[in-house]
Amino acid sequence: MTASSIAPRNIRELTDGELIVKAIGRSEDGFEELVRRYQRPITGYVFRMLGDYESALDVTQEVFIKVYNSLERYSSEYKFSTWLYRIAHNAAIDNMRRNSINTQSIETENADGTYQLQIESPRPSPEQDHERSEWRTEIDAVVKRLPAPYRELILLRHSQDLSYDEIAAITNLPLGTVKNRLFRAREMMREIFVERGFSGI
Amino acid sequence: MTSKISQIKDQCPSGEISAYIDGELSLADELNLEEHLSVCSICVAELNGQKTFLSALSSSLEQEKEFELPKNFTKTIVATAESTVTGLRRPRERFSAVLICTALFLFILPALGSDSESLPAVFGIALEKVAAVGAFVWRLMFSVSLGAAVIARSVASQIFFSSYISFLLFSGLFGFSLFACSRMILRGRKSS
Repeated sequence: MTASSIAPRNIRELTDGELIVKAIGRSEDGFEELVRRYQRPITGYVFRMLGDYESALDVTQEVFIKVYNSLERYSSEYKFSTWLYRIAHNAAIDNMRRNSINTQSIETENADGTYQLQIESPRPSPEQDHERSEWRTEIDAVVKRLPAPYRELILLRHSQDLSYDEIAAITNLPLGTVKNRLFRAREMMREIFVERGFSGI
Repeated sequence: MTSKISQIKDQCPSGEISAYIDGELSLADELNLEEHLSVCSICVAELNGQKTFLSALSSSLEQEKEFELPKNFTKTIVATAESTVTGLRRPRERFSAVLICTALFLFILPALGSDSESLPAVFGIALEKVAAVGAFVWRLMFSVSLGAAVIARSVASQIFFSSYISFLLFSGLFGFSLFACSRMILRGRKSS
């Protein structure tokens, strides 16, 4: 009721900030529109991090509940999307720790701050070669093999199209580390492609 | 290819190339790199290679925007978020309720335990009036807590009015319980 001060424009035209004001006034449709706007990218990001559809849905739900409960603490120091991804990042890492999926690759850092591939994937057989001739499937497979900290940066950059500054704020890493890790992650991907017999990259 | 990559790694700023493609280099670094590119053919090849690779990467990963979600996913999230909020509030309210009860109980036991002779006169009269109104309810409760009261009576009456400090302490506790009570009522009204 308190949010009725906003003119009755189409809710889809409101900015994130206006929707937050609406949602803080406990207006359902304000929060609902925020969920509608970000549910796909967030679920997609979490899914790629966890590799499991059902867990991704659960974690996404968890993320939005957290958002709803802490909307009042949101400060416009960050863009709403950055803040949201930050919560999603933490939730995804928590989930991985809890289920100890690939925990090693979250935590085992080399002395020089790099990560190594944990699992060796077999060379594709000729049939698989044919099956995987599509770029997207191939890239999916390679992204999956990356250590979690690298995978995350690749996803935030290429799937969510975020800037280095935003990525640094989300992952709580220094800007220089984001830059270096992103570079290493890409190098690693290219090396895996070469290893799998993909040329021309 | 692998050897070429590692060969580049040693002498040329290939890490910079990566950030350069992303448009994330500072102006000074950008100029430095462009100067280097004008003389280094290995880096130009590396730049082109990375560009091709990164655009392929982006174009296949950006499909995320069409990610399949279950029907009513949005509604489920909104409904769950709202019910979780009331779920979160309840334990806090329960806590204040217990706090108030405890405060009142602690206050009333020693107050009744000590006879009116030791009570300040005005305070005693007021208490007697309150006690008269709640006599029936109180007697019912009293019979239940009689055992506790007998013990608390002798011990607490001494503590309660033995010094100024303990009197202030208990009065403060009573004041706080009133404050907590009104806050809880207000919060309850806001949420409904």
